[in-house]
Amino acid sequence: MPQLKARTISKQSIRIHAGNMLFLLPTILLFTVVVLIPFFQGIPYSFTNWKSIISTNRAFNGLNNYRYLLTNKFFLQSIGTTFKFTFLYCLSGNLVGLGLALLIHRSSWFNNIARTVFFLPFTVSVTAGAIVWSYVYTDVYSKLTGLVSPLGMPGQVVYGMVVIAAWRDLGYTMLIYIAALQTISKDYYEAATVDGASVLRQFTHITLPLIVPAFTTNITLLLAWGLRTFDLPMAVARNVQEGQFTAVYIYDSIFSNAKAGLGQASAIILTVILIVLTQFVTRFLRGLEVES
Amino acid sequence: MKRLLALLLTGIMVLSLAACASSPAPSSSAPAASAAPGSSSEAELPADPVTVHVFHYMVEGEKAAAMEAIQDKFTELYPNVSFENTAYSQGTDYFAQLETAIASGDMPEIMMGNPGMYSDLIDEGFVMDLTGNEVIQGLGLTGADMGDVSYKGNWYAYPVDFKTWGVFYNKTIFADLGLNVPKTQTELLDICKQLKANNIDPWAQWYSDGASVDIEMRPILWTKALQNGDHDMFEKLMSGEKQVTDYPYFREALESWQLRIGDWARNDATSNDQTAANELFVSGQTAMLYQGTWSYGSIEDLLKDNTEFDYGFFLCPTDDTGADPVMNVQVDQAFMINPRSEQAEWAQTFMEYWLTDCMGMWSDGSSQPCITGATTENTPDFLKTILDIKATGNVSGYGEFTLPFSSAYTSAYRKALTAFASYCCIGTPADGVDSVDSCLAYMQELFDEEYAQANL
Repeated sequence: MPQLKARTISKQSIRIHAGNMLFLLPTILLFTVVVLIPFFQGIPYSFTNWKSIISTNRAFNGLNNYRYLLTNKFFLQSIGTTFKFTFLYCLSGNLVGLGLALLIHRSSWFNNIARTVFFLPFTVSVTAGAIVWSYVYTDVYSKLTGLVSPLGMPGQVVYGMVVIAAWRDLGYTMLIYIAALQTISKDYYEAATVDGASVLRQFTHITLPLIVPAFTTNITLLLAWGLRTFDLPMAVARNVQEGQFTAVYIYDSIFSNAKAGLGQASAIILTVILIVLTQFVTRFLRGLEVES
Repeated sequence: MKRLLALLLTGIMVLSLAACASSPAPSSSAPAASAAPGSSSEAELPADPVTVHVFHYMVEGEKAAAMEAIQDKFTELYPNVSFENTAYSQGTDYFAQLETAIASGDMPEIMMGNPGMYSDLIDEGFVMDLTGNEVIQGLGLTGADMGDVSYKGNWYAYPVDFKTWGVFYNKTIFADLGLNVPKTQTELLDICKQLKANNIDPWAQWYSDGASVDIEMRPILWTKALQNGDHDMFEKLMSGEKQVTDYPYFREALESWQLRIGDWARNDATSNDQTAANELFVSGQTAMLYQGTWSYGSIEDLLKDNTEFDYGFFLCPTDDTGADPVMNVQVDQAFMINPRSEQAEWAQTFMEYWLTDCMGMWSDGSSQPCITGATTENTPDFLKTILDIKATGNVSGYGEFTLPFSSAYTSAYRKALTAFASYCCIGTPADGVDSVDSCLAYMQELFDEEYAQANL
């Protein structure tokens, strides 16, 4: 049986990593104070019957909140809706972003302008974009097609929101894909062309494997953004069950419904789901990465 | 390292969600109110600058502007007193922001809202008990009006104006087609049919907004429940003692509303918000708009450049008796005082000044009917008509119920009604709702959910 060789870290490597970590320190400190500490402070509340956040009365109720949530139809529905939205948003945001990147990754004045135009929606707030889109659906889509706006049509609300979310973020994914595409040496394509490889074959055997790191970034980001989507359903689907994403469920529980303990428990469940899922997807995608 | 960074980034994004409820509630030893300035007539000028913080949900421009004008007038009287206003939309984040502010110890002096809707604030001691307040007593309000600003028998808010709802109609279209204001439900439905036959959409509906579906129910629900002595209907539904099917008014209200929707809903009925519906109505694309009086100012604003548009208002007939419809009344703008805030007494002085010296100014600026019935030479006929109907006493007020729906129950109720509206307008079942019965069942299921959560 081969002996495992102890991994040695050189002093220089330690210095480099320490230097990198130093740059992150302000952010890590801020994150710790503003998010991490409150998060851990909040965990005990998920085991209480705390109602309104202005109330000082709360009693330990064990795992009641978790037991209730994990068997509750509406909470599970909210998770299902969130997953459905996230999957479609992740898929469409990446596919369209990649498609655009392939079209305009080479530098030219037209492509530079096009990149700016496609990236512009990302600078718009989700709420503002969603409200504009609700008018586009009603005043343009409905008038042109005679159909009901997807935001007002049972069964289509999630799809309507996927379009809005993907429209906003595809410029971001596009930029990451463009950056990845620009790092691929032309030599690979020239060699493949000489060998008679078709464009499709070059794409599947050269381009795709070499931009996997961009997939990792984009998919992980959109996965996290999708699972925690809150402002979009709040802006355009407040009163329909289809707009009841998990983040909205958490918000409603804590604030509108004055069930802070329950809301805290649902937030922790979502956090666990998110960390596990992100970790799984990241590991899987990292496994596909190849050295250029 | 890369994996660590990826995890770190993800963590930053998601933990912020979970951390949102973990701020501890303030202790009960909040700062006491400053020295009492006394009543508005005898208040002395403050030696030090005073800032009164107002939390409100008057996101409509004209109302906020009217309040600011009153604040300016108050500041002229008391130059050291200034105001800081914070506005949020009631339907989305008003209460969340208010609670968060209070939980973090940031105490606004004046908080807009009907006390019954915000009972947590009262139970936790963040609302001043105004029972027996001489200024409020001097307004001579009805029991229903006072019920809207009361909780468990005590007064907790200063009422400023009230709201009702009904049908705004395009007089020109009605005149062109020889239509008269309907006296019965059948006449109203005939009008809808005639409009449709003439290729005119009867209604500008706005069912993406929870308030819209709610007010469609009220003429029957409130009126019938109160006429039958079910003053504790909402209280018993929330306590789980009764179910929606125990009150036939829910069914009647749904059936009547379904008839009004008919088969003439526009394809934007379920996606319009009230601004879109108001615009449709004033642009002459629809003949009628079921709307609340709070939109009167916005409609007038839209008509600034269209002086030829002629419209009227009638209360929606919901039966065929031909009797005058009962007008629903609910206190609209009401303001609570936070006794733990620094300038609570100045806030009280300001509110009493508003109620005694500035009601006409408020009505003119906000285009709302004052709770006292105050008018000026500028008061439009529309508001005078509303005030006249209220004065007849042919009203059913939300304040006559022992308790209003809490925000959790209101949200559940509106969700079921929105599903029903979607089904009626489009014909596609929404959330399993495809009939009056399934709507009632869904509503009860949502109520049961709230009840179960409350007892965790």
